[in-house]
Amino acid sequence: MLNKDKMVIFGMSLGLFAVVLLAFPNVSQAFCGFYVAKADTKLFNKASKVVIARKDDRTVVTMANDYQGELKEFAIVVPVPTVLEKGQIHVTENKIIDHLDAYTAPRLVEYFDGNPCERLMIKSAGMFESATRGLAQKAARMDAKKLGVTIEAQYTVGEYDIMILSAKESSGLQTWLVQNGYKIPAGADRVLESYIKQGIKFFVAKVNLEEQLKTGAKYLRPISIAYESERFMLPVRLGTVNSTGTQELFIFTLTSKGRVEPTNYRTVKIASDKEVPLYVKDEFAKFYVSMFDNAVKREGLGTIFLEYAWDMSWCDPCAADPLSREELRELGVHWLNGDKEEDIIIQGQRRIGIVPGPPSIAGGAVNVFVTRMHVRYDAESLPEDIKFQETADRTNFQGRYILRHPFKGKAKCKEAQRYYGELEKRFEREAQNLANITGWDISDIRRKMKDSGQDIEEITGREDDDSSDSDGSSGNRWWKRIWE
Amino acid sequence: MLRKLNIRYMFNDSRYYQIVILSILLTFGISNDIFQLPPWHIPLLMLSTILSQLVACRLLGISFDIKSPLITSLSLSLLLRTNYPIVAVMAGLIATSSKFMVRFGDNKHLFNPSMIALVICTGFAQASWISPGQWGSSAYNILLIGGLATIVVFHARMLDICLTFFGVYFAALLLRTLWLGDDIAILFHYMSSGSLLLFGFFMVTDPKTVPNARAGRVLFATMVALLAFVMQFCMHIPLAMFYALAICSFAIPKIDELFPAPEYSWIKVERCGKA
Repeated sequence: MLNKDKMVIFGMSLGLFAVVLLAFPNVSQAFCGFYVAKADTKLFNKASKVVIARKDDRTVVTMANDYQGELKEFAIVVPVPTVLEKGQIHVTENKIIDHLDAYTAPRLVEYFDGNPCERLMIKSAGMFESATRGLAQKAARMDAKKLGVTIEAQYTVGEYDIMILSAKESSGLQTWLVQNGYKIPAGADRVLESYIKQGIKFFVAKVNLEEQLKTGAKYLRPISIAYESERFMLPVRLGTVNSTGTQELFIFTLTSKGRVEPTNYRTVKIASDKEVPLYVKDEFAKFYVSMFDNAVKREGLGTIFLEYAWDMSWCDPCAADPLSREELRELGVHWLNGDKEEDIIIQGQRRIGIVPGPPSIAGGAVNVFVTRMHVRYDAESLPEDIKFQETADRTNFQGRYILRHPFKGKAKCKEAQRYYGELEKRFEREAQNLANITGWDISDIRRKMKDSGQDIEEITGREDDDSSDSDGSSGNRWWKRIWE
Repeated sequence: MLRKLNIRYMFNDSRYYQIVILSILLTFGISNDIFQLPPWHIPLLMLSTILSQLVACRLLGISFDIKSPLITSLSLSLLLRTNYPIVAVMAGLIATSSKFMVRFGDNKHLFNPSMIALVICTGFAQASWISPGQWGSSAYNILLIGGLATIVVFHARMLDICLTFFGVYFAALLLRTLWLGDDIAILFHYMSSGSLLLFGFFMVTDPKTVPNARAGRVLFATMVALLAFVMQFCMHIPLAMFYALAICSFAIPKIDELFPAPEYSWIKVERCGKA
């Protein structure tokens, strides 16, 4: 008796199993795009940008430097796992990080509805560029031995004077730093103590004014450090000690296997693939900021938001030109050998990238996966340094917001009626999406939509049209017939 | 068949509790966007685990019970992450086959099935991962996961191993925090991690893959907690606890030898009087 039951279950299960396997094939969507507009912004205040390239234990960390004060006042203190040789420290260019920023930023895409009587769709894409600003601190010089501080190494690299320090105890280190003009606030010695006990060294850098003049640049350039360590982490605690408000941090990781995520904090994806009202195109900067503010309000400070995770050999739509091999290498991608065979993507969906303009990746595909993370935090919400892991997840994700332009011409066929009915629902859906994403007031949104021409009555000229709609679609204001 | 539907009977087998609670956590996680799973994830894991168990039982001529493979598949659904359906299928097969292939003593299998499937898939296959951070860290985790899980663990009479694991881990963490001079808030941050709670309440406490005697269980829990601590904080391995459990499992036969006791039974025989 039981045997037969089991056979039936087994058989049905197998069948279901087969169906399940077949029903969920990998589906990729292709999309052609090109630039429409750039928005120049400096949106997030006090934001730092860090790029981490990592494969196995080999790590390159690049810290963007948007310091805008007096150059001689600049100084940073960075915990590093090992003593670095001169060759492990490098000064690079801001524009590469800005390029990566633009490439991974949230983007707008535009679609234009064709004539509903003809059913054509024309697509085009827009892009949005976000810029962030960094933190900075001060610096100067003095005697270390007495304070238990050892200067392990000392170099001048580019426009920076760099020292790698190790210390026996934090109060000595703190005193030395303060005496040398590095502003280390009161509570920091505790964090320093923690790092010292874990065997972590300190990388301090200040500007060498002579060298800086030689570069001729007005702004300070980013510093990259290369090292080998089993720790895959970002030391953020020092930065939180002195801040009263919140800090903003953008973390870009470049890896070979897949997406990077923090292991000790929660990751949440930002809202994406949402249709929004057309006027957002002119307010995209505000939209991005509000979206993030709203997300933080909902999920809390200290939540890491995933804004982009993508295989760098293609993009869809592309918000910027892909990074060249030289740029990737500059950022620390050390596993590209220039040999096409070795750089072939080893797993996952493989699609030809449709890239605007002349191809900028010489020599074919690159095995690099980029993850863009964005976090707003304070000392309380990020009590420990962020620890990362590289997952095998190569699913692509991007912040993508959709504008759909309605058909502006006159369409007078049966299809058109249905189209306009759908259109009104769509407008409302777009308004709701925007309200949910940004937290803006829905009536404001509706008003702005009307003001910008996204008004169903204006489009259809429906005020004069009393014809009934057999669909019963919501656009039909039948009460006008009885009272007007 | 009728006996299996007897509610009283169900109260005696803690696996029913565990199924309900794991399902609640899974539903909660999906509906609150704590994790997003591809549509085939749960069905494939369930099918592969349950079917392979069914096949194995028939081949070996033993009776098939859906509860254990269901629990394994629910645990895997909560923890395993992959983009490849084939990996989900493999995980189920590995979990089940480990139960029948790696055995010792009279009738015990060495590895917790979901744990070993996770370790093999993430460690060797490189096509899957676990997201330890997905539940975040909050008091809410402790209440939700801890609260629900305590019911199961209490009923399964595994509180000793559970408390020992958390106790030893907490103690090691406390010592480390004090030594480093870190804020005590960090301690709370670690201990309220959803993954740690899930692991400590559900995985370490699998009655069938822990030592038989209480003393043995306490020793085992201590070993797992210490090894997990060392692997996480000295060797910086993110998925330390799972690997620690896998490694410590090798010691179970020896522990059982040192501390002999009757093997665990799912049914509380003494309570209801009849098996």
